[in-house]
Amino acid sequence: MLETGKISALQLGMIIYPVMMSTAMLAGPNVMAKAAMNDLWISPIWASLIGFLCVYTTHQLYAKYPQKTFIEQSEEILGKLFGKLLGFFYVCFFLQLNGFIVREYADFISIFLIKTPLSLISGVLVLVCAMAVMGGVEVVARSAQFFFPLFVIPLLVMIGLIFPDLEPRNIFPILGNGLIPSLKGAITPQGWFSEVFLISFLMPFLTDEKKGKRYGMITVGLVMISMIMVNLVTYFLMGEATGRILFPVMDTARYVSVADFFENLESGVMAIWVIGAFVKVSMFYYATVLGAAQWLNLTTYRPIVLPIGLLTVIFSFWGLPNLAVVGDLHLLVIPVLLVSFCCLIPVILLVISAFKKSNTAYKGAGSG
Amino acid sequence: MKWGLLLGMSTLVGLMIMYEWPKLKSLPKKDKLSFFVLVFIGWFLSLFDLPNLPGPTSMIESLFKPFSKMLE
Repeated sequence: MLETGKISALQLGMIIYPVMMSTAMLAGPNVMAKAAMNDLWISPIWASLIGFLCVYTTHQLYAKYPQKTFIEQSEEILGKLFGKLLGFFYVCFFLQLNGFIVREYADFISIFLIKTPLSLISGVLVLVCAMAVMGGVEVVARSAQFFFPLFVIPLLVMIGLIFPDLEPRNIFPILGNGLIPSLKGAITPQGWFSEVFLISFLMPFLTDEKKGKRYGMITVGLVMISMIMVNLVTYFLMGEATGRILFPVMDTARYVSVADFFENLESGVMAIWVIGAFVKVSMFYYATVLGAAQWLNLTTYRPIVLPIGLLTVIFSFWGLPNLAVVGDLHLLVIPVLLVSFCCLIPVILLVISAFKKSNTAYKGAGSG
Repeated sequence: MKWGLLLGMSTLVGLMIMYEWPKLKSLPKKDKLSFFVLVFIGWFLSLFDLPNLPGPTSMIESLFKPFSKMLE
């Protein structure tokens, strides 16, 4: 066993919630409002279907091959050669995706820290995450648990402060142009929801395995509710302008002004985003490192933590010259990639494994 | 090629090896090899002008663009 730590199902939920929510909270309303306009609150409901499907598939695969992560499962299902090949693709996928997330984080922070080079911003984040990952799954889980209230409560406080200024009539007419716009708005969030697939790398270390699926489902549900809430609040406040503002939640926070005392809360949003990005990057980082170590059959994953961190920083620059390219990829290409790697391929593997199971049972009956 | 970058990356990689080596020493050959290979890949890649080179993201883009066009 590469990992000896144990986490609880609740901690699993607390890791996965920021993983799905951190990007969604910042850019979500903008992305969904562009396509769905005033129906942007329906899009998370469609998108969450993918999340529920992902939890179901991942859990089914885990039930068939217990105590194994996806990298090991694919080897069992597809055989040594194809399993290793698929595992390699997955490790590369996680590495590139993590690099992409780090890049988005660095691009966002550089709005505030104008003169700091991007490589320094991303390097520092990756270094902090490397420390968490080196401590193993328990440290990742505990830091997520510690940061969870800090991630959720400020958001609720902000919504409370903005409440008097909301204009609920902005959402009418509901479904004015039919279902299509809200479905189109669901394309990008689908990618975020399919990130719940990462529970495959946490499930083997649960103390209460049976609750893993339930907590996964609950987390997806909670993320859906939070996304709807954030979308509605920004749209109630900004109306049609939501689709034109790059980070609407930031502007919502900037709008808060209560008793000349609570002002400029956008720094709070930045703090939440840093927390969310830390949990998200460390989880993807952990999945990359654990996946690579299992793929290479190492005795421990600790020595490859730092080299993979270095590669993550490099992948956050490779082929991404500027913010425009990053934003373009973020809208369509990355979600399609995420859905196919986190949802489609696991489903295909599940189908193959179902056939394989009956095959071996038949063989067993024949020889017996 | 920027010599400052080369020097900086080499120092970083050197520090990393120095930090890991005491723990790495007792591990099997395979672990050591994977560590050094990964470090070397990282060091080697950092020598290029990566942001303006086509990379994995460009490949992903050309692979998945048709699908995302379909969705639009």
